[in-house]
Amino acid sequence: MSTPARGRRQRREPSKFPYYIVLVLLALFAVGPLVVLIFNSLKTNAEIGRNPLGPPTSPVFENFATAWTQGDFATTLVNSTILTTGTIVGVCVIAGTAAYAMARLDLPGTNAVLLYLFVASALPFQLFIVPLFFLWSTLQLTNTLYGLIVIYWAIFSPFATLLLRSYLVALPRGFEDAARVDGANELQVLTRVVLPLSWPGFLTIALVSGLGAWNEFFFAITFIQDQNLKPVTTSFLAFQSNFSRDWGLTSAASLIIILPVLVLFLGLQRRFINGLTAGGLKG
Amino acid sequence: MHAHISRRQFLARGGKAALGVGLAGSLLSGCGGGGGGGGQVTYWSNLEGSGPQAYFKKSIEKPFEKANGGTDLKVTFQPPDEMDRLVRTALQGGEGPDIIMTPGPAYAQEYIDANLFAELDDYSSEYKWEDKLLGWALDLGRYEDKLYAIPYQLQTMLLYYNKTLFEDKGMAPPKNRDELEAMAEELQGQGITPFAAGIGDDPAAIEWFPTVFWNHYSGPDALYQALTGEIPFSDPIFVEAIDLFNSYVQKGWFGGSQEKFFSNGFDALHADLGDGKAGTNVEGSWFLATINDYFENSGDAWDWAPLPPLRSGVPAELYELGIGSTLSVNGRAENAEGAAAFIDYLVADKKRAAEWMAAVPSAFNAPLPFSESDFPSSMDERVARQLAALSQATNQGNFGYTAWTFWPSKSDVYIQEEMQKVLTGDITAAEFCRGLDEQFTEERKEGAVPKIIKPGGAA
Amino acid sequence: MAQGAAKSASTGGLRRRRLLSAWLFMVPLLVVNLLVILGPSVATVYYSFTEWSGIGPAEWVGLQNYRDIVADVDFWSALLHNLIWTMIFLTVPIGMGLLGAFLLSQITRFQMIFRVLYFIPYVIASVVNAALWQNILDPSRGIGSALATVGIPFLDGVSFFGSERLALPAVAFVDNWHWWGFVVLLFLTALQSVDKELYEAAKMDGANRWQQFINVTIPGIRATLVFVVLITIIGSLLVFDYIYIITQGGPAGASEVVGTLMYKEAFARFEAGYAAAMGLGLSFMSGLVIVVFLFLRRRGWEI
Repeated sequence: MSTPARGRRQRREPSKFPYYIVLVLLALFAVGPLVVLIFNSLKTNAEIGRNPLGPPTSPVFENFATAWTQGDFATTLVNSTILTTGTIVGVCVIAGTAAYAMARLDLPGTNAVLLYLFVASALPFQLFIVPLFFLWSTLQLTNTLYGLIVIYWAIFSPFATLLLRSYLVALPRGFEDAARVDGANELQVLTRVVLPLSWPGFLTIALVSGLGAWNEFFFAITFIQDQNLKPVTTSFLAFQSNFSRDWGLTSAASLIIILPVLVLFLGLQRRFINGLTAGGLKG
Repeated sequence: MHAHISRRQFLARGGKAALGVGLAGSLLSGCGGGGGGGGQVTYWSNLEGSGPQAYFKKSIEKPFEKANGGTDLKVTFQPPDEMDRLVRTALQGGEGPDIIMTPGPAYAQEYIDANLFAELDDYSSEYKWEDKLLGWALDLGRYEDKLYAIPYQLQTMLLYYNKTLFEDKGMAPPKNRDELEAMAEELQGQGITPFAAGIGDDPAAIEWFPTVFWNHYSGPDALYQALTGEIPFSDPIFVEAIDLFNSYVQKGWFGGSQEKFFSNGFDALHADLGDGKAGTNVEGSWFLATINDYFENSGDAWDWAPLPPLRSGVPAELYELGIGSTLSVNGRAENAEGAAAFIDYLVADKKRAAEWMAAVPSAFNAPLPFSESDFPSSMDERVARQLAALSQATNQGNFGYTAWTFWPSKSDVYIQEEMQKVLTGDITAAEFCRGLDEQFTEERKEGAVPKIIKPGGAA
Repeated sequence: MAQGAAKSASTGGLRRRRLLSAWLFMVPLLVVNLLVILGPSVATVYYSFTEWSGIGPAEWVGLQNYRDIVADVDFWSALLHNLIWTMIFLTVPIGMGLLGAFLLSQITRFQMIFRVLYFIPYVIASVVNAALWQNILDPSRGIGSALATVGIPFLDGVSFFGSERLALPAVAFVDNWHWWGFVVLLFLTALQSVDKELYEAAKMDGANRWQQFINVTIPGIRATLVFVVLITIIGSLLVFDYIYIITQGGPAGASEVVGTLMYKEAFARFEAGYAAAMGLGLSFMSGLVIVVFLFLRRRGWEI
């Protein structure tokens, strides 16, 4: 709401130009290589072998259709959507409540919990997979999407909690105390005051854990055997054969996998920006 | 029927899986059930690529289910790189498929020691595997005289060459070390990489080269002696082979330069061969599955030749023997009978195996005594020639040993890791061989070396 | 009215209730973590005292694995690579992240486009990123030979992943390419909570841009900065995926880190007990870093 005014004021300052030069250079560094990915998604594998960087000589648009069917994306996209949604919702609840308790409710032993969380996020998970599989097998959670979601909750929530806590610590406390004076309980303070104020933080942890679940391969391949339950990361396997990989199809497939994430990220961008100001206005 | 199954389950869970399997097997055949017998059989396959997977579902899975009324084969395609880790994790957690694939006899042995595999002798007599499969292959699956594993995916190392390029230059595939070195110098002089090679995509693939040089320089007899503990791997004959390979790499013959050898990826080096930027490629028979793709662009022709002897006294035509996987029945399988029936269906039928090998060239070679006439006309002549040559070699004794099949697992990993250090100059060939000898001796004492079949005379 | 009376009557009760909700709020996190991470990790601790191949029974060997690690040359060489990696990641992506976030916070036009562009590499699966850069940095077909054709020959034929000298920094470069945009996002989100008035006040005092950055921006995002430093150190100790995908620790161990070494021990050499001990050694080192952080916190740092 207040942006137009601010925008006008800033545009009058002439000295932003060097900023844009640096920003454009950084942007080129970030996405330049992706042009290669797009080129390669339109090449045959043999062409990539001899021309790995340049534009395709005759674009093979069928790569996308072939990748779609061979990779069985109709199935894997659905599974990954379920996994990702479940992970995001769970991680936001788990990390949100925990971070709030640590940052705001003077949780006794916060230091110990922090230590535990950091150590938990510092365990190489390749190590505990065998005992975990045994446990999951006993609980009959192997080969199910919800079993995998619970694992994702556990592995993504320490990082998310720590991240969210670092945001909450920096937020002014005034609004919450005002709400408490008005008789709100802690859950109400969290959902009605802290949540709107810390939208960017929540969106960031949603993004991080969601991406984590979307791109996760190690646990997925270990815990899911049913072909009908496999996630998108296993779709890449379809393009691999005897010591070689069809990079044309792999590139096309990776664009298919990136697309939903980008659309979502673009959609959430507005909330990122408006989150703080909107929360501030409401308060 | 129901009674049989529950009895089998009871016995299998009682710990004496082998007894249960044997009993149930005889009971079922007593019923005249033939193979299979209903129920579900789970199988994790390392088959890659959607084309081959579709072929498997259509031409193997469906007909098998039809032929064994009521048996439901449930296949999961697992990535080969991950397969062994997944199998280990699942078995340790009390799960895992009914049919278990391992990456070779040395790996299978560990599962057998942990009592995880069912004994297969009863099935072997039921399905007459002794008559159908190659004798040495069955021997490789035996531990303490009991059969636990069926070797599968036979492989060997070959010298692929760009035939068009060779004809243009008036060259022929080398028949000995002098010819090989002359060829390499000639090609390099013309700006062509003699051997398209690189381990950028899979550093472990470096083991192909010590394998080739030990077999074709040191020779299969020396290897047999070393593998059975008669002579050490530090023997000069093995050191010289490594030195020879190293000198070729340092000359830039393999992949263009030492550093490029470390970074070249498979697609790039295969494209080089197809485009005539490289003259030859030393690789396993699995490359037959995809080689045509790389020659499409140039329209060049390709062929393969046996790798030449690099020292006098080594057989002129020698095929090192590799086994890509073994098949076993899970000791906890509820439908062990069905699992064995599927192994028989997949491996032991000559006609079906030949069709399968024609459809997915050289990736899933069954250990059967083939001759060229056994293969369907749809099979590429060069593929048929290779399969027959390997099959005959194992019968006639002109075979050698691949590191990933006959060396125990830690020695194999040692080769993969330390061989790199020889090429970078961090250690000498002699140090490399000495270290291998220590590792190998230790594992041999632990009984981790698989059965070594004797080369030379007919089996 | 009545509310006010109740409040003054039982501050103690309120505090107790607040404490109770604090612990209640921790329950989901603790339950899930105990189940998935802590429980199985206890088994890992046990295995670290055994000789175990990964299947079958484990044999108790006491501290032998830990003693072997201390004497393991490969382990120390790998750990040194972890430290080099840490140095790279404490400087390059954090520097780029601060720069990008600060510049973005100063502009309004196109801000959204830039942050989307920066973030894209983070979205892509590591297998794809790795392959992309393997193509780009290929010695004979990659960027080096492409530059050579337009007269810039110094990268021609350089084998980034095949050279002992370059392999580790080259893989770090690829990982950084994928990571720094995420750091920008972290810092930018934190910057949004920095009070704009503080910049105005600093300007009033005659502070230039650099002084504003040092005196307003950095203190404003201190908590996030410390957080990023911590996850960088821990992440660098655990680093695995890009190295495993691109070089698997080669050539000749030149890019081996403890993570890849441990994976090989567990799943190639079948020394799962030894690998467990190695992994716990890593966790212990991460723990030390965190203890230092907590110590500083206790000394009054608001982090």
